[in-house]
Order: sequence, then C-alpha cells, then structure tokens
Amino acid sequence: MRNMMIGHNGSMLIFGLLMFCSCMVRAEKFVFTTLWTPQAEFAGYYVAKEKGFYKDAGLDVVIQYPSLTGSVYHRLETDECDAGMFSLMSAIDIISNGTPLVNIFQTSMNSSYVIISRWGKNPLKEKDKRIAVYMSEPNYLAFIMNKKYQTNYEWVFFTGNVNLFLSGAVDMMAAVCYNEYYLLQQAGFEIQKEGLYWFKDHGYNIQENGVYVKRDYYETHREQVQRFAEASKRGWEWAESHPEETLDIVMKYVREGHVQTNRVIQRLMLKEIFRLQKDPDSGKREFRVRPDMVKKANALMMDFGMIDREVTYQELMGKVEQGTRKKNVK
Amino acid sequence: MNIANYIRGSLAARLSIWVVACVALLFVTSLGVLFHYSRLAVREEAMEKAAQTLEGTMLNVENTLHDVEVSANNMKWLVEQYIDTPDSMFTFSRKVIENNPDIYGCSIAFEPYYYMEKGQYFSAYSYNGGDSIETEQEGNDEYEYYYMDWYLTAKLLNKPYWVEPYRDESLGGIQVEDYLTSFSQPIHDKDDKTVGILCVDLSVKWFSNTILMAQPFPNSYSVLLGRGGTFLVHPDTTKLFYESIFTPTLEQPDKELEALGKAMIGGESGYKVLSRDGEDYYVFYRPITHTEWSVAIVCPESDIFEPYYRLQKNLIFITMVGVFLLLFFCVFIIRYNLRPLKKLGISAEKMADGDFNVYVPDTKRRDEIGLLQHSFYRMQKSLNDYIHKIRHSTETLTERNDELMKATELAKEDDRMKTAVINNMTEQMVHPIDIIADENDLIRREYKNLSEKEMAQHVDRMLENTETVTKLLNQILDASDVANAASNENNSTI
Repeated sequence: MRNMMIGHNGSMLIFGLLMFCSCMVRAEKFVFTTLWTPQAEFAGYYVAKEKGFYKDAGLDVVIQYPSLTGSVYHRLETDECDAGMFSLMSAIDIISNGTPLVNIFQTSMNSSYVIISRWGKNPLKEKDKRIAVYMSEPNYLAFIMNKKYQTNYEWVFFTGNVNLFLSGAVDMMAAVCYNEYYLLQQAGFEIQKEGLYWFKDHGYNIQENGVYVKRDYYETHREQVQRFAEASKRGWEWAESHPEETLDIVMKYVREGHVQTNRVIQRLMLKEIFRLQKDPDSGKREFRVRPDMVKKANALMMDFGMIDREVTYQELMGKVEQGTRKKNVK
Repeated sequence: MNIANYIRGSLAARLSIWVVACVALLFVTSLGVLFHYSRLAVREEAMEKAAQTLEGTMLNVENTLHDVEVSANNMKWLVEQYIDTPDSMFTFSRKVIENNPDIYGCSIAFEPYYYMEKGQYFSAYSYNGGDSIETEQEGNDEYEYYYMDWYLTAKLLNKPYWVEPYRDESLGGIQVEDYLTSFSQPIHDKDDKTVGILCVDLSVKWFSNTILMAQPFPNSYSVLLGRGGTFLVHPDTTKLFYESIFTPTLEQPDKELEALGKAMIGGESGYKVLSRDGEDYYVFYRPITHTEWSVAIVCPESDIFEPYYRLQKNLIFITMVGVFLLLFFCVFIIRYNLRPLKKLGISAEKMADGDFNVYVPDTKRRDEIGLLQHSFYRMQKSLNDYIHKIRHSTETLTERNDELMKATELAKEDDRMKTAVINNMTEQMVHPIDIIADENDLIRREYKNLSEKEMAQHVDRMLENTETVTKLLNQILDASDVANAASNENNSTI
C-alpha cells in the first residue's frame, strides 16, 4: 500500500515536471507579414508552418497579410509584426530613409517584373499613357524606366487583380510574371510579345522578395531569426520536392483568406516562383542576397534620385555595427 | 441443325429473309430521312426554347440593372446639385437603398481631401442590414477606397461602369461578406471635374438566383461570366469567382473552350457545341447590356434531343417488332404456299428411288404451283404407263434371249462334237497315211531293186491304206453333212 502511495506521488511529480518543462520550452512567437494576400508565392513559409519545421525550430510563427491598401512597412514600423517581406529595392529605400532593416532570409534571385501593354504596343514607345502599379510596394524599376526613356507615364496605383487593366481604364500594367501574367491569360487576354517589357532582359535583373526585420530586433533576436531562416529554407526545399502536397497546403491558406484564385493558377505560380529562386549564374537555389545585385540596385536608385546614400551589402545583412552606419540624409 | 444450314435448306426461310431485308432496308431509309428531319426540328425547337429562356432571364436581369442605373442616375443628379453640403450625402446614399430594395449598398465617395473639413476620407456608405438601413462613413488607412476598382475604374474611364463582382473585405468600418457588383459613375463638380464616385452595390446572390433559375431542360444549367471569363454564377460553387472559363486551358489547351470563352467575353450572341467527357453540350450565350458580362445556358445534348431520342427509340422498337412479325408471317405464309412443292419434292425423291407408284395428289390450284403439281401428277401417270410398257417388252426380250442362249449352247455343243469327230478321224488317218508315205518312199528309193511281187505287195499295202483313208474321209463328210443339217435346224429354230 505504501509502495503504491509512493508510486502515485512519484507519477504526480514526474507529470508536474513534464508540464513545467513543456512550459519552459514553449515555442517563441514570431509574427511574419508577407508581401501580399495568401498565394503560392509564400508556399515555403506555409509548408514550414504546416509541417512543423518552425515548431521544430522552437518558433510559433504567425503568418499575417497586409490589407489591400495597407503596407508591410507600416506593420513592421508599428511593431505589428516581427518580420516583413520586401523586395531588395524596397529594403534599400527604407534603410536609406532611416529605418534600419536586416535581411534574414532571401528567396528571390531574379526579377519577375514585366510591363504589359493593354493594346499590344511596345511600352517604351507608349508616351503619356496610364500605367497601373501595385500600391502594396513601389515598383522602382518601372519608375526608373519611365525616367530613363522619358515615357512620362501617368501612375495609377491600384490594389490588385487585373480588372482595371481589362476594363481599358489603363494602358499598361506593371506586373509580375508569376501572377498577373497568368491571370491575364486566365481572363482570355492575348498577351502579345511586342506588348511586353521584361526588366530582366534590359539589365534590371535585381532580386526581389526577402524577409527583413528591424535592426534592433535583429540585434536582440539573432538566434531566433537564424532559426526562422533555416526552418523557412527547409520549408522551401520540401515544397520543391513535394509540389502537389505543397499546393494542398497553399490552397488551404488561399481558401481561408478568401482569395479569388484556383489550383491551376497557384500551380503555375509555384513553378514560376521556383524558377525565380534559382541563381542566374549557378542555376541553384542559394537563398542568399547577392552583393552585386545590391550594388546594382543602389547604383540605379542613386542615379535616378530615389536614394541619397548607398546601402551596403554588409549593412543590409546586419554585419555593420549600428553606430557606424551613415546617417540618413533625408 | 444450325441456322445457316436451315436457311440454306429452306426456300421459305430464304424468301422470308429477302422480303424482310427489303422491307427493313425500306424502313431504314424512311426512318433515316424521318430521323434527320426530326432531329433538325427538335434541335430548332430546343434552341428556340433555350433562346427564349435566355432572353427571359436577360430581360429580368437587364430590367433590374436598368432600375439600379436609373436610381443611381437620379441620385447622381441630386448629389451634384447638393455637392457643397457633404452631410447630405449620407441622406442621399440611404435614400437610394430605400427607393430600390434590390440595391444592397450605396457609396457616395469623394477624392481625398475634397472636403477639407472631412479629411482624407469621405465616403457616405449605406447598406441594407436586413431589418434596417445602416449608414456610416467608410475609408481609413487600411481601406483607402479611392484605390478600389469600384472607384478607380469609373473615375479613370470617366463614365458609368459596372464593376466586376468582388468581395469587399475592408478592414475598417463596415465589412461585407457577400460578393457584390457595383454600378459606379463619376460625380462631377460645377467645372465638370470628377470629384468622386457614386456607387451602388448589388448582391451577386440576386444574379445567382435569377440566372440559376433559367433551366430550360432538366439537366441544363446557367452560368454568368465576368469580363475576364470569371464564373460569377455557376452551379458548381467551387468555381465561383475562383475560376474562369479559360482556367482549364492554361495547362491543357482546349480550342473549343477557348473559342466559346472568347466569343462570350467578346460580347457575341449565339451557340456553340462543346464536347466534355464523351458528351456534347450546347451552350447558348448572350451578353448583358452595359456590363460586358455574358450569360450562358449549358444544355446537354441528351436533354435537347430527349424528345428526338424518345421518338427514335419508339420508332426503332416498333419497326423491329414489325420486322419480326413480318418475318414470322412471311415464313408462315410462304411455307403454307410452298407445302405442295415440298410434297412434290418428297414424291420426286421417292420416284428417283424407283417408287413410281408414290401418291401424287392432283390439285385445283390454278397458280404456278398448282400447274406444277398438276403437271407432275400427269407426268407421274405417263411415266407409270411408259414403264409398264417397257417392263412388258423387257420380259419378252428376256424370254427370247433365254431361247437364244439355249440355241447358242446347242450350236457350241455341235461344234465341239464336230471337232472331236474330226480330230478322231484325223488321228485314225495318221497311221494309214504314214504307211502310204513309207511305202511310197520305199518304192521311190528301191523300185529298181524290188521284184514285181514285192512291188505288188507294196502297192497293195498302199491301196489298202488309201482305202482306209478314203473310208475315214467319207465318214468325215457324212458327219459334216449331219452337223450341217443339225446346225441348219438350230438356226431355223432361232
């Protein structure tokens, strides 16, 4: 009887210890805002979450989305999230404007931007025409091209989809090859070759999506962001080797977000995203920021008056001491 | 006995098959022509029915859209009249819904800072909350309405515009969970400058209910496509707003579907035939005025041609039954009529076996078979008579032949006897002749040495034997006379 009592008490003790330990190792919350509403563009992150890669890394990652007219930057600045997704040029712009950001994970290795003419005409020859650009993130390359070729476009900022373009309210649209390009095809729009302007083919192949945190956060959570990056990379690698299961996961997120899309579009998007993740030189998925692209982006943005100072690769990667950063001129 | 053998052996079966085959061919040709024209007629009627249903639906939809447009136009005039009194916009937006229960919501939205005192966002929005009409100010940093399609498109086009249905999920203020379509039109100030947008919302549910009710055939269904071919109404709700008519063609080219989609979003009216999963579908389509949307009624061919297929099935059944009955009657009647032939055949077979006394009935039929039977009857009679005569002659001949045979035997016996006699005589003559020859030879060799006596002895011996021979010869001659006499007697008997 006594032995039984000891045994019972011992079990209770072990149970209590386990509960205590589980509380101690509870995953750290990490809020991450993507660039846009749910879609295959963010498949690797969904996979990492659904397959427990973040959990394995001790992270409780919450994936959030900006509103149609809200920005990721606003959410990051107001501490609504720990990390946000930006294009390389956006990050440079934000940093040069005084908000230090650090790239913690890079997926895009190529430019996906393209200008599509509603009327099948060469965008470079279309002067004083209306061009629709997403308001979720500035399309720096389109602004640069406009200045360089003096096309004098009238910028129309819009929230999404291709209806504005199809209605004929705008003459062109700045799009990405993994989304609007397919959406237009899905809408029965015949995309004509002469009506396309691919930035990558004109010396503007600059990396896009990467995950950034504020410098302060980076300084205090280096190990945490490292785990996030590794788990995210694991997610993307799993996604590439399991595309259909990945699509199942993507579609779950898409449906929860009430996004007007379908599996076919998401499949095409996923394929294109995988293609864009391959380094143009090595042909491999390297998940890294390329110093040469940082330099090129800086040069372009400075040449066209978008930034006042260069944002170095070291600075972008958080490898420069906080005190040594140049003061923002703007 | 298998069927082929039976048919080969039966004239009735062969005749019946020929008759039935000819009749069936005639039926098939007639039915083919009938089916062809019936199909055309049924298709025309079905198309008429589908077109009328489509037309009725369109009229219903267009009337409602027109009512919405009229409400918006009337209100726009008021808004422009009272553009300097921003607070009246709330009353106006509310009034629009009060006047038209089909309208779900109404925004009277202005450019940022148009009313400086109202700030960046000023949009008077009212919506039908079911029991009451709610009115609020919409727009904030998370929902900058002037970037929305419903605002931007009409503003840029500077003309009234039916916005592609959308799910309005503004993060601040009123949240609408339903899919809406909006009729937006620009609001102009006194200088004719666009300063805002008046937008009235209509629930897509209304379209769904009206359009899905258009069902001219039991398994037909209707769809509504937006400008980009998006399914705005579809019985398969998983496609709604998520897929377009072109979606399947992105991965697998489908010329038929693409052509249909292009025709529909191109504002054409008409119909096209689509093949899906082994079945043809007739798709009747027509655009909705002002909206650039297109409604289609999809009718399975099996539904359209159901009356035709029913007619076809019944006619084929009746024809087959008729052909079988015809076959049955043909066999029965032909066999009945050919029965005498069969009997004649059996009789002929027996006659061929030598039974000429077989019964062959006479007939009073005057047709070919009657004639044949009668002729056969007569032929059998004639044959019987003829055979009787032949039999009689044969019997006589046989008797005579027997007699001849006997005579022949006798003659042969005579010959044999004659030969035997002659042989005997000849044998008897050999010795005397030999003696004569020897004596003769002796005399010829020794006549000089022989005495007269010896000579006389030899001559006597020769004469003696010569007499013997002569006697024998006379006997032969006598026997020959007797034989000739017997032979002549036999011949005369024959």
